[in-house]
Amino acid sequence: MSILVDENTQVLIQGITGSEGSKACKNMLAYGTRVVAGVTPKKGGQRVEGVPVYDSVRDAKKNHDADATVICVPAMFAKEAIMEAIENRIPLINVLTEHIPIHDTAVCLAHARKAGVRIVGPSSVGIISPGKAKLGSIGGSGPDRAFIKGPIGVISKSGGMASEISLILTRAGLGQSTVVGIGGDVLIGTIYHELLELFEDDPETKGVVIYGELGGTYEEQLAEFVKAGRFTKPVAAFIGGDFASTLPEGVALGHAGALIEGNVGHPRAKREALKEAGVMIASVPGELADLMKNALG
Amino acid sequence: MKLYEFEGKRLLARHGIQVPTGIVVKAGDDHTPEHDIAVVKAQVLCGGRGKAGGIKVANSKKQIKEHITALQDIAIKGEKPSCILVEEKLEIKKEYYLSIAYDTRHRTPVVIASAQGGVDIGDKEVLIEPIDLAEEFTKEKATDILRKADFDDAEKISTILLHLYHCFTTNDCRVAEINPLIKTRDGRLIAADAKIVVDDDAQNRHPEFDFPPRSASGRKLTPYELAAKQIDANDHRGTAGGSFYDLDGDIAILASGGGASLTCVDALMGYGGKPANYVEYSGNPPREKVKQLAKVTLSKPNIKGCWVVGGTANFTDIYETLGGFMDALDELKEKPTYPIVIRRAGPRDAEAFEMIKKRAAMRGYDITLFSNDVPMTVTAKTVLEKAR
Repeated sequence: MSILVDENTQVLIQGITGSEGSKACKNMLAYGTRVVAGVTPKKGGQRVEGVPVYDSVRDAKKNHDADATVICVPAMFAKEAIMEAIENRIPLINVLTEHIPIHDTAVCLAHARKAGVRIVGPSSVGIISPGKAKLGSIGGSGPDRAFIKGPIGVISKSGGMASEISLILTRAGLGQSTVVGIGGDVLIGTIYHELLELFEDDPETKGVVIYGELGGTYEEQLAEFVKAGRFTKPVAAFIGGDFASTLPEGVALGHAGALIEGNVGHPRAKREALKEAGVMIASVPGELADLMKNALG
Repeated sequence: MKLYEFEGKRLLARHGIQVPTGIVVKAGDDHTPEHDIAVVKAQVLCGGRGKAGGIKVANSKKQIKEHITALQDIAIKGEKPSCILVEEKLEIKKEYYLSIAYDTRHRTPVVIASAQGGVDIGDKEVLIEPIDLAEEFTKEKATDILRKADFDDAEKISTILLHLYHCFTTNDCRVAEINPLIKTRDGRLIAADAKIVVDDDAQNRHPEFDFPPRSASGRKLTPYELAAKQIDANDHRGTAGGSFYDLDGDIAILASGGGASLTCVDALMGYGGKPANYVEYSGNPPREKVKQLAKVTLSKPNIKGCWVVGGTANFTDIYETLGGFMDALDELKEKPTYPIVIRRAGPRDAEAFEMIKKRAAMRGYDITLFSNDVPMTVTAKTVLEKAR
């Protein structure tokens, strides 16, 4: 088993007829993901890469079971698409769209919480369980370059760093169980410690590697979770953004959530909290593999 | 985008929240005061304005004019006021703090309230109460929150909180803060200051907003920043330029990916390097956008080295994006003689590297290429050594 996605996961793609959606569809199918249907309003009846397209999630669900949906619709229509997935109780909603207005995200998170479904993202690069299946753009058309099957879970706010860190692990002979791009927005559906809960129960996962950065409190919440003894496997983290924390308050660089507000969001404070909780801290991403290797013995 | 006080107050007033009567005085305006007593306030975006001397109370028409002139000339934390706000002076009976903002711990908007408003709110006890967006935010809920925060006039002030909530949601605010909310001696409730931040990602559903462009800190945008931002404003495919931040070092940077760019600039500075700029392009921008961005970045004077750095791209076309970079080199007014270090991998990277080698040899550029077998942070050292 793996967390979130595996070879049995049946997947919808909302926005499948768009350029990003059709590219994601092609790459997901090539990797062996079971893409069962796509949704684009008014494009029902078409096919993309052989996958049937429906006008609505409801229509798609009449003919297919769906365990997960990938959202790649433009930012201004993302809320509508996510709400449709929530209303149809798709258990996992992976939102790739970037620049969704924060209010739209907040509304979707509130409804997802009530409906008991999980949102990963927005601004997620996707999710991959190497050798099994992938959602979204992660790994592009050649995931095997960076991702191989193995015992390490990876959680990253950054899509590029998810690949970069996985490649570092792969080169060191450490494959990955599941790699999750959680997105770098201020508000995201699934944060580090919520995935640790899943990795804790996943027998394939022996340790977890984290890419975090300045802004918000998600790294601190991860530290609290580990400190409380709720995750028993080794965790190593790299936290970026020292440079950005020297800029005037309110300047966001790289990701929408990467900004300092008052005393909140400093990378140094995040590292201290994580260290105190027993998380191993890498000073450059290249150290993550060694730290994890040492911890696993 | 952070709004100036006078812009924020106009939004609040539009949503039924009373603000002091006042007038905006711009440079060159000939202002004739109506009253003898007024508060004269410099319009800046940075915080701590009062303590820095940006707010003055005048007791005569002459003094009002003097204060306006004085405040037009000062700089607060390096920021020149955009204009001056002249307002009625309020007779204060009590000050409160009221704001709505997004909170990462609750992952919702939260009401932040304190029955003791005013300066140094960060040191005071505040109540933080999440708002459930899956339900209606009612007057009863607003009243309950204010009672919990020990407001003496919760019932009456809840109307203001409700107005503030509507202002927050309908204008796509990131932050809507009133500090202080003042109860005057004659019993009026007035927003004496406003700090409003609107969501840049929601700008295109607010055609009514006419706020001039500005940097988050109130620092005037540099010509390079303005030019770079224009690239994204003209073409929404991928991002290339919106994040440009001018710095005073000598290593020009074109980084890719939000996280990788931060990681790489940290590494460069860790090795003692000084970036000439920060910028990040990602999301598979078209060749033309990368070309324009490279031209802006490399048009800065005194560049000693250029670092094009990114991780292993998931879907950004490396051939097209680096092709855009090479196009820019050919079009620069002065042919670059400084070393260029490129570290990049991802879709079509083998093709891209062949193309770069050919064009560099033909035109005589000093380009060092790395793929993802060398850690990206290590290539920071390479660019610094070569630039020395």
